[in-house]
Amino acid sequence: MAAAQALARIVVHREARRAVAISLISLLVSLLLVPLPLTYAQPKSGGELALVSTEEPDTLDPQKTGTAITGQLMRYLGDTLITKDLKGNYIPALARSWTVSADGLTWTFQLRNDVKFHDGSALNAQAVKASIERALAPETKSPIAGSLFGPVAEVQAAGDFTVTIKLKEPFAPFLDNLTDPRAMIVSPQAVRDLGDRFGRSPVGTGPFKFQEWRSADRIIFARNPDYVWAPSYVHAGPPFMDRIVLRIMPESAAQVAAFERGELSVLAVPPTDVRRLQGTNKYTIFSFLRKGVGLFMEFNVTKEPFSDIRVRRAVSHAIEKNSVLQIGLEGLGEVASGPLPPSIWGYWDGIKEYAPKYDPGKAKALLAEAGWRPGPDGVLQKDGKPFSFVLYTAPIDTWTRSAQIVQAQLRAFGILMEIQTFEFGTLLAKLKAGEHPAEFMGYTYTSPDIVQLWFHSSNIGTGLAFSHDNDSKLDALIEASRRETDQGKRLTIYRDIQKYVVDQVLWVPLWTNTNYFAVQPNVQGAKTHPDGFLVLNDLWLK
Amino acid sequence: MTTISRTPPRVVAVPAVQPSRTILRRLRRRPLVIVAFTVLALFVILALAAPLLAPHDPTALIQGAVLRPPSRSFPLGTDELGRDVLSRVIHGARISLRIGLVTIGIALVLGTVIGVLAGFYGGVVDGVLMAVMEVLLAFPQILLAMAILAMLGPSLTNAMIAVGLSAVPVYARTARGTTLSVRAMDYVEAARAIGVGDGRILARHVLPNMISPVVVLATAGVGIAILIAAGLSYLGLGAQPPTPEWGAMLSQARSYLRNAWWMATFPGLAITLVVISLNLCGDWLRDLLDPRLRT
Repeated sequence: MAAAQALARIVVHREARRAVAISLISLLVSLLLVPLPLTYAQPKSGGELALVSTEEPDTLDPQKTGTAITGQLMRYLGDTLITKDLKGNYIPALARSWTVSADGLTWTFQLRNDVKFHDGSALNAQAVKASIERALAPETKSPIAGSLFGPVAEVQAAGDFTVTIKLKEPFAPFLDNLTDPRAMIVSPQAVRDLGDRFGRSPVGTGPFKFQEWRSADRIIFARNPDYVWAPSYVHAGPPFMDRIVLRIMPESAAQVAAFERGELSVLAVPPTDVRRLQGTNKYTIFSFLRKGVGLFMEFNVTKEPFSDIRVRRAVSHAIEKNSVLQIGLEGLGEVASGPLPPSIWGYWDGIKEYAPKYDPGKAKALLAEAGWRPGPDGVLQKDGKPFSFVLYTAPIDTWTRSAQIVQAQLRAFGILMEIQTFEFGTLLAKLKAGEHPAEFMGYTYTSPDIVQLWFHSSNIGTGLAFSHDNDSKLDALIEASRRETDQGKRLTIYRDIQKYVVDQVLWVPLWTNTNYFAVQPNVQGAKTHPDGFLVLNDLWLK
Repeated sequence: MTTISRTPPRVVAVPAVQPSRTILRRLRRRPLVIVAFTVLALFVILALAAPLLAPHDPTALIQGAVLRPPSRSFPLGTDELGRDVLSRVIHGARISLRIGLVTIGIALVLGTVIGVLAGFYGGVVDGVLMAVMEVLLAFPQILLAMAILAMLGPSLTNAMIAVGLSAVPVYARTARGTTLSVRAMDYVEAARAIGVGDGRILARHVLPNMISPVVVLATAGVGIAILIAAGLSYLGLGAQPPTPEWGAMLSQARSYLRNAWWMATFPGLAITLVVISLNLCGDWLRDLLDPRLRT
């Protein structure tokens, strides 16, 4: 049954919707492609699963990484104290159970006593304490992992298999953050023995263990035969496959070709190839809405011309998002309205109605009110200066396409938008420094606490607060959302944050994409996790 | 001393050009070169008259005409945003031509100045200038261009500067070589003997006699420059969207190779034709001007 649940959505060709008959046929075909539940087929051991990544990890040290792919890989190499099942419920992992004190400050975890690290050392309270303390230590310079644990006052090994984490103040995202793969427990012995080399030969407790990393080519993980347990949504014991290989291929067209040659088992399908691969009816295709806003335009509120909220609002009324979605993303997703997507807990459904809509009349009126009048060449002018600005963006195909549509749409209002592409690292540095008037950005995250990274003023110049908006009211809302442990009240605060960000027009959210995974027919038992990754424990190769 | 004329010997004025009849005869023996010249002429016309010849605005998004295969209304099809590929290829000729001329202009001027100074003065000047050039020559040109672009930031103008600068060492080395041989000529000795200043010797005697091999190099260099600039745009370091630069068009087309062959084929064909033609013409010009190859 779990396998059936995991087939979150069966993808039906969009074109097929035109005719009911065709769509029924394609539905039938899709149903035939569904792998049978595990109870019907006998899993076979052995074989190698080939995955692919566009980017190469910066490091395989979960506590030092800043790249998304490392987070994905750590799902296979490591385990966290708790995890989420396929419905998003918190369930035991390395911790059999946990309790929290009434004031929300003291968390106690009872650990499993049958878990060993890949280097043979035992997972116990001392190891968990050492691992978390390493993530928090300033000398680790952790970009993400350190902040996951929040305001930790102290980690105690209260017994051989009992760990207590004391917080300085209530931290609502704590439980969710503990399920992040970067919060996995690393082997303190390996950290001690390997030092800086740990990032090239990481040691965890997960179903797969590190085998080899050939730079710019592949990373190989081997089955961990000593994996005696597993989270409740998969079978207990070691995984079926001998190895997983992550190929590193920067070019998406090359990835698609390799997948169709059968060199890759699983492919994150680029939007341009989704329909074609669906049309071949050869592969199982999974899809789920990205956990995050795929693309938004963000304004730097400290720079002209977007320091004027009327101008920001005018732009939000001047962009017709559906065209951007249809052409920029081939329609494979949905229009975004606020800072959170429907796929993240805390999303407020009313935001669709609340957000500014395409309205040329309002856009023109607001621009006129802000003092921008059409010049002789049709370009808006104010004090003799034309309305032109540079949009900073990254070389991502769907972003570049969307940028050109926005460019054409704004041109119709007499706004000249120039597109400037930077390599991603350079782009982030420039955005932190605040030299941009506006930029294109996107994110993936599992919890609504992401608003803290994007909007809290403490992240200006250091984190992701690229709007450079120093707003005490927004700060207060975000701080309240992190302190509040009552889920109902937290939802209300997140609703207020979403409305406030829309009110201030810090972003023009454009779209959130649907992620598509194509899987070869010999891959059985594939499940996607709601947090956006492929579950490998039950997967086997025919 | 006063009896000696200050006018240098007439040798200087002998141009490295053949009577036009010979040129035509030589050209007849190389039909491929005629084709190459014709292709180039065609692209130059396209470039000069782009706004008149292009059926559409190269950046206009035509409603409802996304990814159309070649047809009567769009002879080379449309791209993923609904822009006419033919119009983009035509306007691309203009951009590529500008890239070729600007980059080679930069390389030619800087390279000649450095090469002539090094070759003429020798000694420390030569040592220092050429040591720097040798170091730069050690890098492949595209790598050097990328390094320069990384400092300047990606844009078409910066790409032109980067490609131009990255070609300077090649020109400097050639210019130095020919300057060395010209410097040893009797007429230079003679001019110096009668007290002509360095500036005048350089301008009147050295430069006119050393320049032709450098010009030949530049002809072939235009093709290389266009190719490298297209490569940089392909990598996203050159022309920014929606500029219809051929390399940028190829880059944009690569994700549609399986669905829309026309998007990559036509800009690719344009680059190929122009670069091959330029190389053929450059080769021919070299043969024509190289005394050792004269029949």
